[in-house]
Amino acid sequence: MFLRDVFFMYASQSLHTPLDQLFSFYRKQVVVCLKPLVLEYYPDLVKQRQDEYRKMMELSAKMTVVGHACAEIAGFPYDARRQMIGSLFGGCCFLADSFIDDFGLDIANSYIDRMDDLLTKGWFEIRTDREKLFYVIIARLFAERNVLDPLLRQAILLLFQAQKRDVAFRSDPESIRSRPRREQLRILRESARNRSGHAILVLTGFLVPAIPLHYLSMIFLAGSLIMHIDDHGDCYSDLHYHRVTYLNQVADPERTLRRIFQGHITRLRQGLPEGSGRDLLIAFLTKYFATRLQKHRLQKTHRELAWAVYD
Amino acid sequence: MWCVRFLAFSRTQTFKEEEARCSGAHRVMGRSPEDTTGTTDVYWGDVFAIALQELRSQGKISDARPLFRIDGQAEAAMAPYQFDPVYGKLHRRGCSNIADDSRSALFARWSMAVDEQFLACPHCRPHPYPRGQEAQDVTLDILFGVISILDQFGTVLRERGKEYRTSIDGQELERKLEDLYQNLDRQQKDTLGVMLHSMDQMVKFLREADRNLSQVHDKPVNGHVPTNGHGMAKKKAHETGTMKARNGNGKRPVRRQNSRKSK
Repeated sequence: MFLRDVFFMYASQSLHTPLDQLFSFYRKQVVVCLKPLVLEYYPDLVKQRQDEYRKMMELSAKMTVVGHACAEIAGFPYDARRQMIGSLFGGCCFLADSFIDDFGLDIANSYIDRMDDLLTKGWFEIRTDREKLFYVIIARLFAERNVLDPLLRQAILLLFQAQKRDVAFRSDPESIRSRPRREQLRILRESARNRSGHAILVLTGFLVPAIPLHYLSMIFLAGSLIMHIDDHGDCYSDLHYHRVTYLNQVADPERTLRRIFQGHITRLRQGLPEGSGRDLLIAFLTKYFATRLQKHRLQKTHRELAWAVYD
Repeated sequence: MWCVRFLAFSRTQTFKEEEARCSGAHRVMGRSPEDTTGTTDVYWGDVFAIALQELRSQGKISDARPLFRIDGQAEAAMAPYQFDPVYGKLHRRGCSNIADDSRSALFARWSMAVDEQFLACPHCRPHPYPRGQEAQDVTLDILFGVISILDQFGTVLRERGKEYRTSIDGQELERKLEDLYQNLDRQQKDTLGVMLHSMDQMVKFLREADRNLSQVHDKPVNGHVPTNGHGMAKKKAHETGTMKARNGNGKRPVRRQNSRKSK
């Protein structure tokens, strides 16, 4: 193990709460799960893109914690296999987001076209090592569950449609700007809600064989909250790269986010079954909310922290 | 490979079997025997998955027909119910009370349990129908055909094929496949024929690749001592194909500095 991995695993850990202890554990787990794949299929990520690699691991650790909560809400233990699925899903999301966000519109559109092929025909043209890693991760994910399960296949498709819509808006910003402001905000809010709401349902669909319908809407709600929190944390980098989001367009984003957070948490507390799954999900969302408010403020005053990996 | 892995699960998709898998009793086809505890060491399934896509890119297998289709919009359009996860309401299909902002998030449903009545839309008032099922297309059937080929020809399983066919599982699979084939109509049989032909081509290609690789690795290269197969586990997938040569026509995506947003 490289020294930088040890640093990554221990530097950002605070072990004051059970949630922090769980994060600490899953940070190690995701490295065990994903690092061999990265080294085999896209070694440059570890060797030359350390910041990105660390962000991938941190995002995967978050997905693993969220997966833990969702599995328990659905009534299944979060065993080693499910932890592995959570880690793989985190890696998959990170890479998919990078195709959409980080390499310009041509790459984003190319990703959308090839994902369309994958979902409609099963074929995926691999062009780079990064895409090879992405493909191997999703192939492994697909091996862990019946992807033709009605709920899972719909969640995958709805997630893809949300991504496609996002990329379409970026390709043609006028299609949003030309609308009345109220309509713009509605579209942006819906877009954020769908991207993360369906992502968390895909994760849950890979983790467990069945989700009670009522909990499905609660998990979707939690997912949409994650996206709003995430967008608030990324507000300045999104604005810098002309990425329009609901939270960077409203007049008072912090106040808006607080209102959304309180409303969603109240609904989750009432709608989810009592138990460790619900408690973990709410604890995670609360911590994520607090850290992203802090991130937003830090980035407002210290733009150079844009590269930092946040807990 | 997609379908191998998918089919490995398809055999175990019932709830009980799923739980048996979770307790460690499962075996995913292609995964090494020691790899049953949720670890993700590189294994030949990855190489196989990549090889399948490369075969298609090189035009060595036909992509005229889909390998499999996750997009289930055609089936979803026929479902009797729609679940709105935004407001937690279950509707009849096309209910006029479905909120506009929910339409991009609707899930098609084929059944409604009695204990889901509290989610029912008060406007369209759907009635429970617990036994509804999604209408499956022939994709699943074709994929079951594929697994029979792979069970017999998949690399190390080749010698075990005969043994497998005489086993209880093998005989059961054979019986199901015979029943399945008898029930296919003309078009479905044609589709299956195309698929089997493609798989046959792929198996031939893989055998050829395997033979070429064996020849390369049997010779001392640059003074290296022959390893008699040892050290093959770390062989990189892209060394067997043309992935690097076709790496975006020589262009790799160039990341703008500071373009990665913080996660």
